[in-house]
Amino acid sequence: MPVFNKTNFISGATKTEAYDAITTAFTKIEEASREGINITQQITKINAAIQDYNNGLYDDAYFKAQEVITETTELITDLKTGRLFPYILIPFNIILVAAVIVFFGRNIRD
Amino acid sequence: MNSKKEKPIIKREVNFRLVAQIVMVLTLIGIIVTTIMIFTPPLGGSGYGVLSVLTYNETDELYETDNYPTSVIYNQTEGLSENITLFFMVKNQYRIAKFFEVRLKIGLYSLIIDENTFGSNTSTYFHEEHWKNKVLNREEQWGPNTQTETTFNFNSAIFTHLGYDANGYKIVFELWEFDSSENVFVFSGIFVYLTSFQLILVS
Repeated sequence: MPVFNKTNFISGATKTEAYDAITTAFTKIEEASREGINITQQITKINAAIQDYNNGLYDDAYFKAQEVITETTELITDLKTGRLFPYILIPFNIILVAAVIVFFGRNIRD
Repeated sequence: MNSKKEKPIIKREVNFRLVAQIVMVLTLIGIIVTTIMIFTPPLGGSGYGVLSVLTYNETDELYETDNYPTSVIYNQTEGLSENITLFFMVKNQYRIAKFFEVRLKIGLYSLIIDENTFGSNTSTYFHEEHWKNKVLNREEQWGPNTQTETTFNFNSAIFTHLGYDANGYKIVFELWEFDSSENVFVFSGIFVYLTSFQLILVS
């Protein structure tokens, strides 16, 4: 049964919500794992969430799984941003190469 | 005397427009290839899971693949057998993290089980509700330990469902893996079982 607290947020996750959160967290872990990211801490946390779920502590399981989702998503985003950075420099490289070609071309012709 | 005729030196002018076009095309190909590489996962899901069933040797304090129980006493009056304790071990030999689930099934001796037709015929098996599951990192091993200890017994519900089989029963451990695309656990094709497990009836 959901409980309303002072800030009008609903607390109290159902069994289904906890399960969905765990499976979503695992999907994120799997994605991070494919990228070769070290996710040892997140795996420990999701296993704690699974344990809570099996013990009927759906609230705890839900929140732990949500933490895993947030942390793993951040790790994936950081990795992709880090990988993209060198390629952001590509346009500058193109301009540089073009400028060198034009500059030397003029010198030789002259 | 110099009899050789002097060859005229041909002065070639570099076509800078062509060079620039080639550089641009190569750069464009590079951008496309690297973009594909960025958004393609570097590691595949190739590999396999390992499942073993073990017993605990209290004398030597060792887990071993030996001395498996072959029978258990079933009290018909109480509708309950003695406890049967086994341990399992799972190892993730995939290149990525996996979410495993180990399912225990008790079936008739006639229960047919292979890589594809796992214990799916519900008239010949009775499964336990409390399966064990865990996410394993690549190369990580789960058990054998107290976490993977599986204690169960034959109760009246199982006995009523399956009936008495003089040939004995099969105790099957199946390894299931979570399929993220389907959002369900699917049978991995890996199983271990004890067969001809005898039920000794007493009143």
